[in-house]
Amino acid sequence: MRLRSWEAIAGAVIVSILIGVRLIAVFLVSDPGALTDAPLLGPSWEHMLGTDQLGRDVLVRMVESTEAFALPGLAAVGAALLVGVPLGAGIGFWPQTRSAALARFGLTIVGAWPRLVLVVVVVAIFMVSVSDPAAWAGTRLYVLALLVALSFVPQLAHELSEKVLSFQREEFVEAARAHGLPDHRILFVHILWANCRELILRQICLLFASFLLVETSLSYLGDYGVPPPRPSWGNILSDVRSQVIHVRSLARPDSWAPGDVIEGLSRAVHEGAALALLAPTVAIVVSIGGLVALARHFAESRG
Amino acid sequence: MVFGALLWSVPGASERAAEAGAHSLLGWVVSFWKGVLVGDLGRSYRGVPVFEMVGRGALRSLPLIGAALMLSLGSGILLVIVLGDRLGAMGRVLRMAAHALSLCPVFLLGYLALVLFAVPPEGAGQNLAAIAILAIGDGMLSDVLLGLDAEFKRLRQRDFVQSARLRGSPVWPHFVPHLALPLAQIAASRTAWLIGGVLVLEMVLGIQGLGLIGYRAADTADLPLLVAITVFVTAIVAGATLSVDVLRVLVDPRVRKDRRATGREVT
Repeated sequence: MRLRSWEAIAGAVIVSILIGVRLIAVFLVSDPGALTDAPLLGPSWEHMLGTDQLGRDVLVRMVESTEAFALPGLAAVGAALLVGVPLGAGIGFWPQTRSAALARFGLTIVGAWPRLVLVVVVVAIFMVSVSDPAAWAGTRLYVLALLVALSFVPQLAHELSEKVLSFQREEFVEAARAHGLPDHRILFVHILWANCRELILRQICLLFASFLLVETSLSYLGDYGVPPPRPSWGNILSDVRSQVIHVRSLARPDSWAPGDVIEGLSRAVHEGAALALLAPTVAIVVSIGGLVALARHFAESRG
Repeated sequence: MVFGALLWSVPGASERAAEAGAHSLLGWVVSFWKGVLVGDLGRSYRGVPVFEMVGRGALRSLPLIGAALMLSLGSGILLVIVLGDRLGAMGRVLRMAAHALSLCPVFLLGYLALVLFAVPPEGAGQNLAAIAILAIGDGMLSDVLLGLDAEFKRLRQRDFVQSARLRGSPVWPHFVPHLALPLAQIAASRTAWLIGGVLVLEMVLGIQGLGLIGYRAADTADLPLLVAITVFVTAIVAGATLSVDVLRVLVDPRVRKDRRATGREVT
């Protein structure tokens, strides 16, 4: 599986960096909540992205934020594959059965729920149902992961079933049947493994990007994502909002003129707020971009 | 029913439902659907009629969603079909910028608009900013560009377009009916995303639409309101998918023919 375009190479590099950053966070990083005695510092060798308004090192918090989506994201991928692949393969391989019709109906119903609505409603129910929501903060991320996985299953199963169905009349499948190979071997080895790998890898990239999007969105909004003081790229942005608005307001807040915006930004850079704003912004966009670029590569390969 | 059971499991939900006259889960679900039929969904826990709140929120959110869809499809058509190859390198740069901007989540674009450009808390400025953000963010514009690109390439290679070109007659009259269905499909497939985007964006910009009302309902476990909003947005998504199926039958005579043929076989 060669990377054929610059887009694919960039995607692979970004995803490798994300994995590297997570490993650094596991083995090297100190306490992300540790306070230094100097808030709002600009970048220096000691604090490469400066410090936030409470004096916490922004770089440490950025690196530690990967905890919020790494394992839960993998859990979401695992859950979606566990349900979506057998469902999609089954519907595509035995399309005329009653079970396939029932599964298609169920997937249509789940697929009609907008992802974020489903996630917010069910997480809200979860939060109201537990007696001590703060104690369940870690579990909440896995509930979020399961919900994102559930909302992704219809898309995965639908695409996979169409693909499997398209192979039903292929010569290699008929030849395998003529050789007396059992259905499960034809389905799993000759169709899924040999011909649908790229499609599944593409869906994994899209699902991970989706989870990152949902986690950062909800962490920014505050109630259903990663609760402070645990860091997430979303809640780092939320923390720094009032500070950036304040700095920006020093340079004519009502003006959209490029000069005033640039003046506001230069003040923000000077006062250390811009890095706290830029770092999570760039991290979110680049990570999602890398995952989407890889997904496109897999879509163009064969999937 | 599954959703009703989930809500029923919330502590205190059954007691509150009993106060409203529904003593079991089934009774509660039946009374909800009866209410949908007669246009009375009861009252939210704040005492306001649910139907009124959902209607007010929908009037605020649905125009934003519709306008964002139009803007996104319009810019896609402009960039891919109208300007197409005419802009050369500039066109490629514009499209790359559109793809890059489209990678931003809606909440991030809303946040940047708020902190950098001081979007006003209400009025036309806020509406325009919201429409632009929804039309671009969460991959919306990128998806539209890619979908239109693929469709345009496919259409350009079709025999009827080639023959119109060779005759020197305009190709647009042939393009329009063939583009209607893909455009509707893109719009329908993005509706669910847009509803999610609106939910987040309304929180970020403080727009009093379905998203903000729903989020507050979730926060206060206001179950009647939460159920009504969830059912409403699900119906919108299902309606969008259904309308594409109807359009497919209207636009594509082959589908009608296939259906008739299948009908004869069955009977």
